[in-house]
Amino acid sequence: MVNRLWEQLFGFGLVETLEDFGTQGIAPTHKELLDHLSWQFMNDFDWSLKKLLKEMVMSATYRQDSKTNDELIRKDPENKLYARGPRIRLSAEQLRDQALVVSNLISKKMYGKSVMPYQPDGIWRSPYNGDKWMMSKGEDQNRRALYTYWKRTAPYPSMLTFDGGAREVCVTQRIRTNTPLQALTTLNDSTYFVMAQSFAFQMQLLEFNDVKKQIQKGYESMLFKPISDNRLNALVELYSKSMITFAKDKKAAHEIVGEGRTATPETAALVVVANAMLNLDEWVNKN
Amino acid sequence: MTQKAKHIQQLVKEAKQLILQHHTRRNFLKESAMGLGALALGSLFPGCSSNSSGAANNFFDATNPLAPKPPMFPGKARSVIYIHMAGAPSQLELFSYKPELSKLDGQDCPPSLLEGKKFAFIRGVPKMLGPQANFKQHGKSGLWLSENLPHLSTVVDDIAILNAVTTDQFNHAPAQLLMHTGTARLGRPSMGSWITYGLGTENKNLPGFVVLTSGGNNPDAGKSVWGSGFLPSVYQGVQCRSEGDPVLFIKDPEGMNRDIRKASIDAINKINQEQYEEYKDPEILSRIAQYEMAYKMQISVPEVMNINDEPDYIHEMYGTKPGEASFANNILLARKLVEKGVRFVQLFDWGWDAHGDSAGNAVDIGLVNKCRIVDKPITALILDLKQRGLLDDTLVIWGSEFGRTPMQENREGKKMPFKGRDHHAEAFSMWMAGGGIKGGTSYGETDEIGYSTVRGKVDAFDIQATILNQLGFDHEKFTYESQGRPFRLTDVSGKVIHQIIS
Amino acid sequence: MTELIGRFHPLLVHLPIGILLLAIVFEWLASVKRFKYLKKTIRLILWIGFASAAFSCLTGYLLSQSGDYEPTAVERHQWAAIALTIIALTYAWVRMLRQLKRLYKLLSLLTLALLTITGHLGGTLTHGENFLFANMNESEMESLASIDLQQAHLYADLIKPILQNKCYTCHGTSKQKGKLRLDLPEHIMKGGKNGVVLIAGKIDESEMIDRLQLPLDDDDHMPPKEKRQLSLQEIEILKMWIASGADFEKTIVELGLKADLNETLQGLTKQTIADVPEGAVSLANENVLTSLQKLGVVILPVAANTNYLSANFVNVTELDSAIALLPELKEQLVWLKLSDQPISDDHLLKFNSLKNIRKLWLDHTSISNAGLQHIVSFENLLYLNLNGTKVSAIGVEILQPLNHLRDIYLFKTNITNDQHQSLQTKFPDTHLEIGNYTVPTLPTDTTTLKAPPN
Repeated sequence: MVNRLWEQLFGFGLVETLEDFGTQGIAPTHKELLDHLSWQFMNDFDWSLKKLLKEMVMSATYRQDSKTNDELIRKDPENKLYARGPRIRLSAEQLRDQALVVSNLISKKMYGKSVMPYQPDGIWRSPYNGDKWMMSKGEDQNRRALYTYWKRTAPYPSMLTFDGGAREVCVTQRIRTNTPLQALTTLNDSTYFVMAQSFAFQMQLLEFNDVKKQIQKGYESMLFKPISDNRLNALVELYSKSMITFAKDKKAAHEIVGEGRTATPETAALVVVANAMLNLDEWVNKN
Repeated sequence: MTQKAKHIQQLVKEAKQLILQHHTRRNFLKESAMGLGALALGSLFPGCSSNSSGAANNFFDATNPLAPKPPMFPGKARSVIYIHMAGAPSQLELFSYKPELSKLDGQDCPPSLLEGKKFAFIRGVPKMLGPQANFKQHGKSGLWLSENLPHLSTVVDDIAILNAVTTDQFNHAPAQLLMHTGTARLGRPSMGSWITYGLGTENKNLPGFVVLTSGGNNPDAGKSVWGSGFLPSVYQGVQCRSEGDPVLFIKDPEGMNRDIRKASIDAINKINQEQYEEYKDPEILSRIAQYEMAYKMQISVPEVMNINDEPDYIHEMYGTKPGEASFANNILLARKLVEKGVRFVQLFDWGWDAHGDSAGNAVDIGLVNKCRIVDKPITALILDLKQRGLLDDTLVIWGSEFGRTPMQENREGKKMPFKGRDHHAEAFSMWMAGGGIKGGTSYGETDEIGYSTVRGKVDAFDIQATILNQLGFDHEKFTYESQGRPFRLTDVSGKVIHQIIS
Repeated sequence: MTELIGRFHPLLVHLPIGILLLAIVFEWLASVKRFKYLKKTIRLILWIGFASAAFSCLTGYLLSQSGDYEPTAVERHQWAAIALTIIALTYAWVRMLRQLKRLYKLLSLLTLALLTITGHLGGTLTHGENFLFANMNESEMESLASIDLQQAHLYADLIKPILQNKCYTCHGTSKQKGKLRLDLPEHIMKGGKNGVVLIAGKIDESEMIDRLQLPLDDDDHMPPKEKRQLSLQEIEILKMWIASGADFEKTIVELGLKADLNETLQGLTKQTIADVPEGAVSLANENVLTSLQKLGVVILPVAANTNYLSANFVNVTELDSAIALLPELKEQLVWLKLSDQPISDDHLLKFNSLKNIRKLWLDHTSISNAGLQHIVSFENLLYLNLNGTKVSAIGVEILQPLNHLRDIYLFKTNITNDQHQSLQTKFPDTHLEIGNYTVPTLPTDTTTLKAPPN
């Protein structure tokens, strides 16, 4: 249990083979620490997961900065010695939920049946039954990933791309990969694009006039830290480039902003920026 | 500085606390029993010592999981096109010439064939059904092929037919899973996933494992037949679709043009680069590369998936018509993809389940029509690969999940309106071509009525072993560590079919 | 299970041999004063020896049930072994009674004799008759080569000696593994447990040839991995014999095989080379590899167990610099794929030193006849793809000296069908592929069958 929680926080367990503590597994990197936490979990915390979690996240090890340097990488490429903080990509579900929250779309509804958020046509095409993916209406579109309908022979594609399990077999640990298809998903999947639109409106609401300030605020709401000048410049540059295009092409601007909003070139350009921001490495990774 | 000092202080404190907890159960076990046990076992099985094995055997780089890798030994084939006829065509109307069976046409099936057997739909005593097609010998090799495949008959000297393939599953989904993943249950990686895991992909702008489906439905077993099972999901088949986006999310959102997309990817990468300067995590560099690749894929994938620009003689040859979702178009795409360096192309064509409950499902009507759809494009594929010099290193496999009975199906004991055959697991036919396969050979033989195998029996594992062998892998050593033990595609069996290898 | 125990027999028999021999040696040593103390142990050794002999008899009996061995030879070995066991028992008994001391030495000699006989008979069973005195240094190929093909009978003079040397030990008079005997014509044709082993005239369907040609690692390969293997020539001769009808009587001349056999025996069959060189090669320069990778070249060993390299330019970003680096890998580079790249004749200038290239893809590049001049030095070239280039028949003729070439692909070049015909005659051992295949559209291709109206 301790090992699994540790894996959730740090990216890999103290025993890397979560499913196998035996001779065929990998030996623990910090055996004593694992023993110590297990003992605490049983005795001090009286099997309280919450307390155990708190112990872990409050530790200096977890709270370290994940910044590193060439020497550290050379000495310990996988950070098995925990000389820096963990740095791992978020899971498929976390990514969706996180983007929903920041774009203020999230539905806080709990319990109930699974829902069917947007998915491209033709994913389900099973013989012998005519089941169709019926898009859920209204708020149900934006419920947490937890509630997404799951069919084993045709799983939800964008989560699968981010290493979600296909649920055919029990998986103790997902392997985090990094592929161009993931980039395409967060850039182009209409679910993520709708979130970018909403995030852009959100930014406009926070700060009415100044684009720079809008981006600054947006960035802060995403990552809880002020944006650096370089980053800001890069995004502002993207904004102005897009502005030029959308000022000329009203139709494109309209399509980018989506239905039901006034399609000013400014808004369209900000949507493009929001889309880019939701693709930043620091956004999809936990630092 | 004080901040850092504090940190270190706290770390030391934590460490000290840990040392106090030295003598726990795990420690004790490790030092006494485990030590002795491991010592004894370790000397017995040198290959299984705990530290050298473990997950370390899984060889791939998570930051670039599709990087090309060499095989275990030089392989004859570099890529694979696997054509699966979902639903199971009848071997008795295509490859398996059984003149004796026509003499028995209409007679009751002898009870000896039914004893202790289970069928999907046959009940009671069915009647025998003679071959519903005429056979002739073709080519220099004199292989027997039916009139249903007039085009393929012209290239028999390039293919090797396996006439005694068996399986132990007589329902579609499990049999398909067995054929492609090595088990009849869900959860194992498919052959294409294994191969992309083993070899990676050379053309970094295209996926390594592509799936194309036709016939109106996906195969019965769903996407599990191209799933990655316990392998990382990056190795799963990428389904390329003939309608909508060829690959999911490859198209920019409405209103986005290439310049803006380029500008936004530039902005993302610029910021990520800065992020890298701060954090030095190589994963960030990899993400930058993935975004660049994604941008290139947005151009290269639609390009390769577009058959409009193929010359007329190619369309003439394959019988393709741009713009429609057809088997012929998929076959042409398969050639294009392999030419561009895609490792494994998996085609599924649905609608071969000839039970005889309707005209479209009759072995003398529906099956013939299906053959007319696939015969020409498949033949064109072989000839086209040949003239492009690709047949040398592209392994083509044609097959299905099982075969069909020499008896006429009698669902619920009643006579069916049309001539059909039930699922038959004991004997069916497949063929392979190219990639070091000896053309013009036939291996395996069934009895006089094509009910069971007599000689040269092979099963899914043997076929998988052969495919891996042609790609340069020893199927017994090509493993992935999962749940504490190494897994193989061929599980515990499989033998390379050397008889069809040149 | 009993069969498994039986299989331990060849291992267990060494116990009574060793133990009884020890007893005999001690018996004789004990008559020397210095070793008198040994006397006390002999009795115990004998009892143990007897027990092991008895147990060996039991396992031997179980093994004989498998039926892989010639029954009469098994019987002889069996009785000898039983006699030995009884004598060992008597010896032990007599020694225990401590009377009839004169008999000790006699019994020991008797035991020794029986031990030798039983052991030899057992050895004959596993290793075949005459294994002890078989002529070890006779080179069978030499003897085959010395045969006068004009006079010789195919079976008696060629086939039989091969079978005798390589097959009889397991499939002969003393042993019939898999119930197969190969020592007499009628046995050969009868086959074994799995049916007939050869079908006259059909090499492909003859299991015997099938098994000979399986890879050595295959469980079904014959002869078993650890036994002496047939040479390629011998397999060729067997194939010729089966193909010609597996005749047991006729002479080589009568069968019209003299010329073919002569060629095989002289080893005149053309030497072919593999896709990858067989010898080892030094590791390629790491720096060159990394720079090539940086330029987008997919450069990999052709397999994990070799240093030979293959290069694919599909992702290349800077063509010129990548090509300039290739000569550094002249020893290791064997496969080179330049398809679809803007390669010009000038680029090929750099290639003169790449002598180890075996497969070369130049399809859909901008090369022409002039470029082919630079690859004539690739003496090991097997595969050359020139599809979609500007080469013509005259240009391809330059490649004639490359006598290992297996395939040249010339689809969509300037070569016409007629030129292809005449060009092919100049390349007797090379397959020139010009393509231009068509698949005619048959009337049936576009019609759909419908159900007959009721």
